[in-house]
Amino acid sequence: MPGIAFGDLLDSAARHVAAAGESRSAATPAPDTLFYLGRLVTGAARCLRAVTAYGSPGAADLPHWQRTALELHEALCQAADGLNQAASQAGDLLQVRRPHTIRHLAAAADIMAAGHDLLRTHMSIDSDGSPVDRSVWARMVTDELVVVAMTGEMGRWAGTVAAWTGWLSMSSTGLATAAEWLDTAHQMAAPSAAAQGQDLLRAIPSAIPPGRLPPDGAESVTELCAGISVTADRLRALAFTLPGQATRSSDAAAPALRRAAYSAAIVSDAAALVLRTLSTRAGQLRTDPPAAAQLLEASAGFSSACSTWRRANSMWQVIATDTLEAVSPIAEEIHDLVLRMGRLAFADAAWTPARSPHARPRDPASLAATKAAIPAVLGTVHQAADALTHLASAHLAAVTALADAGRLYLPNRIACDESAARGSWARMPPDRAGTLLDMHRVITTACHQTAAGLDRLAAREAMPGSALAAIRPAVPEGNLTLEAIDPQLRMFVRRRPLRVAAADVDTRALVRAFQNGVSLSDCARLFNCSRKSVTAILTEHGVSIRTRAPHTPDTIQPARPAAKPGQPDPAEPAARAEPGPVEATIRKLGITDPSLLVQAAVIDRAASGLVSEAGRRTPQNAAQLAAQDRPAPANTESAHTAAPSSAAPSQQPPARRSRARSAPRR
Amino acid sequence: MESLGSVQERLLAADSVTATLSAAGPVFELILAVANGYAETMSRAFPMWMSVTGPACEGRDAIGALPSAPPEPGVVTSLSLAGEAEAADELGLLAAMLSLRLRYAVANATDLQGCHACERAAEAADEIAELLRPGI
Repeated sequence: MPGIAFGDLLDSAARHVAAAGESRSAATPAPDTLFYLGRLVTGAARCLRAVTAYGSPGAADLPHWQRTALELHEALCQAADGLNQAASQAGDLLQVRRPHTIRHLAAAADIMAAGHDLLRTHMSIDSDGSPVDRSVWARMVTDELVVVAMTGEMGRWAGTVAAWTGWLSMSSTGLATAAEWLDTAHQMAAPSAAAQGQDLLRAIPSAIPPGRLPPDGAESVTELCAGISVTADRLRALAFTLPGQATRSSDAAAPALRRAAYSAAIVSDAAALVLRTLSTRAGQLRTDPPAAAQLLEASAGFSSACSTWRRANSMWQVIATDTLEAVSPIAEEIHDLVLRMGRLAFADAAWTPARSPHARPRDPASLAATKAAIPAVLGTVHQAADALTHLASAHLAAVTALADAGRLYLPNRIACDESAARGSWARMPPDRAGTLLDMHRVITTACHQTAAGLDRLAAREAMPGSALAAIRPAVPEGNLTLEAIDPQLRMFVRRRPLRVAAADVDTRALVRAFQNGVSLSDCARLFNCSRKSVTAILTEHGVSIRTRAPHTPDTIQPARPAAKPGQPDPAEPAARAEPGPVEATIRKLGITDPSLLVQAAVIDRAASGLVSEAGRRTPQNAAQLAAQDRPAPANTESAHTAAPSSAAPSQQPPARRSRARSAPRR
Repeated sequence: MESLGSVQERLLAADSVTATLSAAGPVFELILAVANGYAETMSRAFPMWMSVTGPACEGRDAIGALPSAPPEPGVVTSLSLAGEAEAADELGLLAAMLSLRLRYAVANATDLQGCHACERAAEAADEIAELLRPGI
């Protein structure tokens, strides 16, 4: 079953306090009552503290809403102290045979404490004391809307407890301080402002997802819907952790990404069918307002998302990663989603992909017997769409991390890397990695659009799940479509040409590389095109052309060696286009791996900077050192003897080379 | 891309671990190409064909074969398969046969690496055969 939410706990606590109020009498023991009211107020204060992101009321730069929350927290703490003090003055607590009133108050206090624990699951504190997000809800838990709603909610609770102190003051003394603070707290809350975020506050679940619920092959529609919600929760939680573990997780291995992609395509296809069947049923039942057209529109969204996942699966069929594990937590979870969504879509309780050729779509009346059943099924599909969006975003982040780490491989038949054997894997070139990332951006955008369509339907039908939009990751920039990147996709599995025409360069990847500090010459080499083409592409994209890379060592070079008359300055772009000694050595070894070449260029520039600095400190040798440091591809040995750091590169290429050539680990 | 008859012949003729592994690559590639082709048609069997692509790639990767060049358009029709259902039956049988040959090769394998590759590839072939089993 779906996990408990913060609103459920608040409701339960309120029921217990109401029951305690109904059963209280003159015989109710005051010390126990005061003690448990104190615990209840402490719980309320801690809930408030859990959403204020560890701010301090004394901090000068706090926004008004956060300051109010912290001040209310302080007032509640003072009230709890007052109640505890009054309890200890009133006498001893009962150890056995506690009356109903006390049992209800104790339960309410426990539940409020559980509420605090639930909120705290979304964040933890790392070793340097700063909060760390632990779930997709973490940002929302400390959002202004939620904090304001919590302030209103806890202010209301202060009012409830204040009414109890009024009743107790007839029989107890020493309650004045507590009552005063409770009144203050009650007045601080602004119920009108709090109403906006009330739904969000109440929808906050535990960050710990519910346990896996394997499909059993005999589930009713209601059970299938509940199972899909559980799987969606679990997928969201797994997706949240994936980007941070991308370089070591089995979920980011090529087979797992492939399985996730085709499973998501099957889920999207089945969900589209569910929505079409639901649309037919809405027409039969003449729903008010009519929902058939909107349901068909949402169904089309799923069909588009299905196409994008399918294309991604095709791409991943030729890609390898360092590890080739197919079994992963996400793959297992999404397989459950495949089975349940298929069983919801087709009239076969034991539906599996293997049985799909013989499956008939479900009868509309069996999907939603009455008008009231439509929102439940729709809500389930909404949950699945949202979970797929989280998964798509996580995949985009994970693939970006893999690409940045150079851990994606293509057959060398496609990559055409001269340093790798023809019949082996080679590192994925930047242009192909750019295409792959674009594909994942397209998937994420398509999933977002599908989920957004269902958000609108959910809001219109006043369905549960309206909070899903608030915790959804951001839509990728660019609003890419499958049609827009179709030419790139067609090129993806084709042999990479040795020299690429400007029109065929992956411009996004090139711009990103340049903005990340890769020089014009290096961009030209990496993307197999001319410097002129690079300049034209950058200008076209509004990128200002720098003459020096911002993050490369030559920018922090303290002094440049003086150029000899008639010889080019090593720091000038024209001169830097000539490979340095390390780069020349690497090229001589036949290595064309762009990342290695860039590293070599950076080492060359660093060596040049170091030699210049040495020359600056010993002016009499500057001219001689500068002359030796100048790029000399034809005579690399002399360069090695001149540059101190050039000894290391002479050892590096074989090791690097073997890594470039090595096939992915199995 | 080899034809169905050709890959079947090679598989049946394989009499060593090396020959079985080398015959298995084209089988997985053929299954993958046909599955991709039918998945594109978005027929009712779409979930089945999509699910076949995963183990087909995993089997191919397990035996160390590299992805081959993409088949030309229309490869599915050129495979002498009468229709989608027949294609599923034929490929299911081919996968079952592959699994048997690979398991037989495991029993006779002398090197651990070859044995491991055969086992993983056989598991992938089993999964394909299960997905394409006739009459499910």
